[in-house]
Amino acid sequence: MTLAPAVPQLALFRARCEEAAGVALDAPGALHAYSVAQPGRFWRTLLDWTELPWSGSADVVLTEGDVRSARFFPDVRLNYAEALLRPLPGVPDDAPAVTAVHAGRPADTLTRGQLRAEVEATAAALAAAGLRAGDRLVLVAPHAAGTIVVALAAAALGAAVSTAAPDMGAPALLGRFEQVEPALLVLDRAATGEGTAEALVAGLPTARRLVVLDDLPLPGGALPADRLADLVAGAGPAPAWERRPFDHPLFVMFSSGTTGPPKAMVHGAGGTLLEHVKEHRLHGDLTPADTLYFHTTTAWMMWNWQLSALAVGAHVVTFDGPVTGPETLWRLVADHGVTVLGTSPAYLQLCQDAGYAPAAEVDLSRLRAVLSTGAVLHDWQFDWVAEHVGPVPLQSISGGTDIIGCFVLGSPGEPVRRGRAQARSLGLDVAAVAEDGTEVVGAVGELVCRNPFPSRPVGFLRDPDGARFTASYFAEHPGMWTHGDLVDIDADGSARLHGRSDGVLNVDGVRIGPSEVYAVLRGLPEVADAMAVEQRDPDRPGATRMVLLVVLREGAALDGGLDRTIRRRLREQASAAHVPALVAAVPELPLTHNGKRSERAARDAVNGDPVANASALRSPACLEAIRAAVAAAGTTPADTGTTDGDPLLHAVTALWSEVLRTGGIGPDDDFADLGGTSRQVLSLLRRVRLDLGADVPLPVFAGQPTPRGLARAVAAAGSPDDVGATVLRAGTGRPVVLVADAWGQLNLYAGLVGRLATDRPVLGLQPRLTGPDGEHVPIEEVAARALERLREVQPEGPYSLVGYSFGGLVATAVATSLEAAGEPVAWLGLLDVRPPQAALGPRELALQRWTWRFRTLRRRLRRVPAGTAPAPVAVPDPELAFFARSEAVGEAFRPGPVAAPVTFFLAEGSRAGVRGTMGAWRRAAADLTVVVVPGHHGDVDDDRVGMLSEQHVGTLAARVSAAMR
Amino acid sequence: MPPTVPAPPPAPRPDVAVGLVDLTADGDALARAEALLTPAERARARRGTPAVHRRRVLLRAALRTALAAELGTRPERVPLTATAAGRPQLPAATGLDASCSADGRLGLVAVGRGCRVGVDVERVAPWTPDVLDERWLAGSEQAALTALPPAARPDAVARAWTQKEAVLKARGTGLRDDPAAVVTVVGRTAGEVAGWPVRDVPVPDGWVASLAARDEETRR
Repeated sequence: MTLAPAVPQLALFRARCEEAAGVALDAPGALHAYSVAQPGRFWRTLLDWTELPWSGSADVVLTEGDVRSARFFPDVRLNYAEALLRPLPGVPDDAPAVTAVHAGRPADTLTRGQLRAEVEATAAALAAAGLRAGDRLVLVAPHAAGTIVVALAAAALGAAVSTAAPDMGAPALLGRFEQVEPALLVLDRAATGEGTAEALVAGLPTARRLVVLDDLPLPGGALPADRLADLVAGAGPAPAWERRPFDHPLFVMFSSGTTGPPKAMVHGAGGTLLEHVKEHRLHGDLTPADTLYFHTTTAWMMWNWQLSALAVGAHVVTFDGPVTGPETLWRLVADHGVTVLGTSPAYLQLCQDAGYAPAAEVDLSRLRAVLSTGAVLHDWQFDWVAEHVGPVPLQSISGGTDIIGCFVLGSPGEPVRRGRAQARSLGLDVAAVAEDGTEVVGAVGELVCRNPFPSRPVGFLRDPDGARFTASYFAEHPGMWTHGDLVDIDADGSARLHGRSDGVLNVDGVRIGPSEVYAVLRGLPEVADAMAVEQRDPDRPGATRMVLLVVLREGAALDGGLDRTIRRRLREQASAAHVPALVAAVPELPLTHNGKRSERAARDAVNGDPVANASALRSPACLEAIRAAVAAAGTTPADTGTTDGDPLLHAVTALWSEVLRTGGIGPDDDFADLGGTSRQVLSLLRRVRLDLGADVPLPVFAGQPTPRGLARAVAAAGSPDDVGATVLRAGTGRPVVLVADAWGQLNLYAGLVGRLATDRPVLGLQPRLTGPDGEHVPIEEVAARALERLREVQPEGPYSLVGYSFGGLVATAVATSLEAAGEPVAWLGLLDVRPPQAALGPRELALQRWTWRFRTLRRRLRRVPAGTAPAPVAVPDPELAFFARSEAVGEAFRPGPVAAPVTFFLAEGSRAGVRGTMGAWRRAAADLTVVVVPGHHGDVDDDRVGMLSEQHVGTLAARVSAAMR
Repeated sequence: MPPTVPAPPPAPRPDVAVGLVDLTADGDALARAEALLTPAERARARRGTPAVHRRRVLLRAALRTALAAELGTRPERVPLTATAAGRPQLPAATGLDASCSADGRLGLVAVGRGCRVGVDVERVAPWTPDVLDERWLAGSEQAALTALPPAARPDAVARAWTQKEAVLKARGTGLRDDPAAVVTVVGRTAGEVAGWPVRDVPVPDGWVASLAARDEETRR
């Protein structure tokens, strides 16, 4: 076994460039930057370093002009076949050149010497059959050795070769080859369908001769027909392989257009050769020690690309059989010692989905790299290769038939970033650009090449003035090659392809790949197909918005529910920017005759513009339906229905809309994500207080800043829920813990919290006061919940607790429990907590009854204003009823012992009320200090100034701060 | 009209660098800015609406650029993270602290060297008595505001807010602390607020901005 060189050829070449440039190029990206900045030096150095055979002068590397017009090496002459078949230093003529693997019969191998001899003989035969330089040859044959021989023989003679796979139908073949106007037709009829040969002969009248590779009987008819074997046997001496200009036509390739017939692109010999050798050696580190198999057909550019590996001296494997299962290609790799395997994301996915583990099944020890191209390679496929193939780099490469090469590909010796192609093609100024042609880095943009490159097509056939060529690549961004792919290129030069760029959206400066939208919608069974297009916003001149066209499955309807689901899914699984302004159900999406989706036609239709390519559409009538559906969807009121029928959520969402001055708000949208500022939070909470009557504390809102979260908080404010411990004020050290009042609320403490003279954090505990049935639970149970929440934020003592009124009772119960559990309590502050009746002795009760009688009397006076008849049936106020039940629970509480120091802050106005009952507290609290503070208790129905009011809270805060431990 | 690209304001303290950020930057600038962000920062930016996305990208990139100048590294290499509450955070070894704010098309970034900083910028809005009912103004502030002539109130409200926010951001708590408990002296452009030296940052007409900054030592 031959060892690969320890140093990648890229490093050797870099050293050569450093010599030529006189600067260091070892920094990341430096060589690429140099190759782009100094194209003359780069391509000349490459030509010399590759030691390809050429004659003439390489003094002129490229002519004046941009990527569309500049020509490379106008004075260099070369021959592609010579370059591939020349004897290479260190590669003996008996080294394998091509191994043809077949389904159902043994493989056969040609050595480099044998291949050269066969090509020479075949070139002589084709010359004898009349093939001349400048002619074009059509070759319909499988991916096998004979096909390579014919193609190289034609190239040796200076004829251009156009290949296609034999399993393509006659109409498809004729659609391509009519434009080629071939002089010679070479077919392997053993592999083509019945009648294909006859159809091609009839449809390609320029052909002067038919040559067959098979042993089937020769057809009769006017066109002279020969077996290749017969021609070879009868041919004279091989003609000299003349070197021809750099741009001399080598291949004619095809690329489908969205309109019109396939584009017939002519690639030159020099550009193809130099690009391929560059890619193989520098980006793939391919050497004579390598065996390359790229899974392709003769109809795809990867066939031509693989062919050029012969110029490097690598051993090329061909395969003309079918892929019958996940094991097919891995077996081929194992059986033939393939070192570099080229495949596709689809095949890798097939293997993964089938649960096939190649490394466990076959010997992959010689495999050193896996290449993948043709579609977007997903992150998880990198993981799969690492796990089930082995520690070989998975190189995502991507380019196109149009350039017969790659824009992004591997970079030997450097790590592969999962999901990404490692590097940009050297010498090609590849970039992602925004619509205005400016480069974007780290974001998805249109893939362009901004400088001339040698493998640009020489031109199109049947395009004498180059108009179609120009329109195909240079219309969108003048001076750049626009390839029609979406790509993101990071600062490190790595790249990820994002599919075709037709129909990319740019909404408010954010580029949105429609594929991201479609990926989310695939999860919705109601949606059969969808197309996202950009529409000029009728309400905002100059701005655009997203319109989503959906084709629904049988039985589904775009009602409010589905519309909401679509928006919600997009918001949750993509982003707010992916949510369309409008969703319209359409019967059909615009497709071209060959089944390609035409976003452009849909965009014209939703904008009400004339549709440029309507004739290219399969059913132009769908455009009218799209126009009508969008118009109808546009007249329905703006999205206010994302609230799932919850009136509270609906009301909250409406307030968001008002405060944020925006529509289309989803229940799980984040306030800040929608552009809401801190100030607007306060405006919003004010509106919630005014309109919904609920007091939602800022920290509670901040914890769940979505309409759904706010609706929950509003609901909790109405029927207090267990919201756990809340940081009312941040600080350092042991927290001071405030316990919620009989409403289950902390708001009344706001003034106190702000004024406490302490660096310690202030926490609020809001235990739920009711059970699952909505009934109040005893204080002890409320305290147990509070304790649980407290332990979450302060697992260990000493604890400092404060509570007002009912909250004081809960705080007392918490303190008792803590001490019972052996936890130290530093201090308990009771803010005017009247002793509960259950704690009072008979005499204390009697004293208190007088106070109660007085309170009841005052209440009655308030409830029935003078001159008003009492309501016949009392309508209970649910909030007041809640409060009354809390009080009742409180009265039933019997405080347990508290050993910790307790400070009782007695409101001056309550003095009379508690007179004679403080003994109840002294019995529970061994260490009780009473501090009198100004103000009244401050009850619901007590309009006298309370101890926690703005007027008195300052004094209270000072006294609490002084007593706090 | 204020210029679209305002000049950097004079630093209000020698140990604090402040910079204004033009949030109207074009798509090119946006793309360049985005390239400076970490994937997590980009992801967070992307969660927002297009306008929020733009603001977050430009502000974060400006912050990274300002920090890079201090650290002598490239913006994308600045070891900038965020606390759970979203406050910018840097390793203690850098001795740097950062804060940023934006309203409308104006952004503001501040970098403190050896001191803790909080900045806030607010567009001046027409006076409405509703602000008195939003619960972020202390009683004394409400009284002082209503005593001002109506023409002076919009600036005073914006300043009171930015001073409170600057302090809350410097503290690192944001609105988890009650802004009403951070009491300002209405109309005063520099002075101590809740233990933090606070002062105006010069910004274009139509905005008010405040900086709270305090030496790290005095915090402990």
